[in-house]
Amino acid sequence: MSPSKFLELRKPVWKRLEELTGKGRRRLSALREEELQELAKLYPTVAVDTARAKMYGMGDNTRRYINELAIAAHGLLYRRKRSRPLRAVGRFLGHDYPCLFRELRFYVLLSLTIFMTVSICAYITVRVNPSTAYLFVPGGLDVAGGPDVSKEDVGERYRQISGSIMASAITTNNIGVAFYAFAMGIAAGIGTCYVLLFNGMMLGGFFGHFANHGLSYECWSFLVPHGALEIFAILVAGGAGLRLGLSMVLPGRLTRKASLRTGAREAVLLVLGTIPMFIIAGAIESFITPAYISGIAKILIGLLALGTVLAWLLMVGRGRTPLSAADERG
Amino acid sequence: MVFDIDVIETPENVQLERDLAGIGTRFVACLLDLLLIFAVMLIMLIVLLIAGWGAFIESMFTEGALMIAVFIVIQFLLFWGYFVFFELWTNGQTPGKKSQKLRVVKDGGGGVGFTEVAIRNLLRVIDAPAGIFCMFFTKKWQRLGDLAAGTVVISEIVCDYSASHDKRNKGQVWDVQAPPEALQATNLKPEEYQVLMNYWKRRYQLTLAARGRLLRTLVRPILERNGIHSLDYDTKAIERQLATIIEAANQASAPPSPPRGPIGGAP
Repeated sequence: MSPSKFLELRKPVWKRLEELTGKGRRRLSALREEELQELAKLYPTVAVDTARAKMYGMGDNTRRYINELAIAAHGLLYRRKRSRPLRAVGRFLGHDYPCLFRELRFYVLLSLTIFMTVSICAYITVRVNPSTAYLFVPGGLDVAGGPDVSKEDVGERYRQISGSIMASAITTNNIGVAFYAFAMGIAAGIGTCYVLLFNGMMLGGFFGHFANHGLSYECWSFLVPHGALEIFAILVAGGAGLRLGLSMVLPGRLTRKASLRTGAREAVLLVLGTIPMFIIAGAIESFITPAYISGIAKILIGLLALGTVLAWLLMVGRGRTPLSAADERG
Repeated sequence: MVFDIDVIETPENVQLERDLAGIGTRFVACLLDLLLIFAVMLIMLIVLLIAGWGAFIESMFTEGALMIAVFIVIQFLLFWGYFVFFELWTNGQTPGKKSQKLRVVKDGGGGVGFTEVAIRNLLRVIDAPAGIFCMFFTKKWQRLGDLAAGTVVISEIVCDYSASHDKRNKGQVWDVQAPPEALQATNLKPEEYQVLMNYWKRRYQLTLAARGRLLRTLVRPILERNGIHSLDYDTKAIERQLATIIEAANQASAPPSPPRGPIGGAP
């Protein structure tokens, strides 16, 4: 077949496909069923035309035109199934996320180890040498009073701020910290370690400072209600950052690029699942921590929240075949 | 950077090609998006100051406090969610990207899904200060977020240089009238004048490679036929020669108009 014959023969097909893709570009539903079928029939032939045009040495013009056409049709045909957001979130929380968490528990444990080591070291340091408290808790002492803290100071500042402002500010700030802990992991996990070290030192210093003043119980009843879940969620986010960073450092049998991609897919879902934890923790922190109820009750509420989340992560979705969340989501 | 292309391998085993977006347009798109976010925040802040401040001063436990809480949440959603939302909603285009005709797609074909969008946009906070340099070292102009998500940004500007597909300048291009004064001044035949004028008007729509080819195969013979010799194959020199001729033609024919393509801007 001569190039001119080829053009003459195929031109009507291209024109038709151009019409169809133009019509379907906005909304696929604009196409009637027989038009859709026609589109599916025409596309492969036009895709082949791109190769044929190259073979016949057609001009750049024509080749580009056919290429654009094929891409437009390709985009219409090979599109992802539109998922329903609510159902997707439901499945994520009800099945995929707990499975993913268990799959990546090593990274969460790693982040827990780093965090606990640092906070225990900071605690011991502050107990041995009280003045170091200011190094570990920059500005944090403001929340609970100055160097001479008293019982009333603990959590008293909290009661002066409106609950709704506090809930939104604390929750958004924490989620932001979690996102940063994840994103900074891309530098071989170093950034994530920084977030973990910083927060671990602060927590250890905080406990040490109050223990020095004989206020350990007040400190626990102030921190545990919201802190148990909040710190756990930060550790999970830290685990996500470590997953991201280690995927690049230790790719195993994959190429570094492929390893980074799978790592990022798992890690981002791991960190996104902490959002509901932070919302719960933020609500507790703003409405239960400052409430005038006994410390034991507050601690119980905090432990109950953490226990529920842990039960969800460890029990839900067991037994059924674990679908990789990343695959399902595309 | 004449042809930066991304090749999709389709299930039919055919390779389709797409133009990758350059750093410049991506920067402009990002800037527009940031301006939009900034504008929304500013408007909200003004509303908050006018409506909420009085109430807030009176007591921290009233509607003023609620408004501030809402403001904090919206500001958070804008910061982390703006790009995710739009890239999901419009299949890879934020308003800024739309204005520059850019689109985020999967590396290797297909539209982006939630995971890709989430990865590339959560990593934005790392890319903004540091990771952006990654773009210079990757073949497909990918920043760190793109690498981790497996996405590329493509340009959907169709630079089709056949007049029959030129919707913007339909008619105008082919119907170049050759004024006799211009022909006299330049010593060109009417057809030659039309060809040269057409090239001149449309030169910015062409890719550099296409311009070079047209200059060598189309413009140069015409110039040579008219006694403008000593032209080597330096396309820039040819275009300069052409520029002087066009200018002479334009000055000869009234009303004088500067030689300019229909679309401004260098290629």
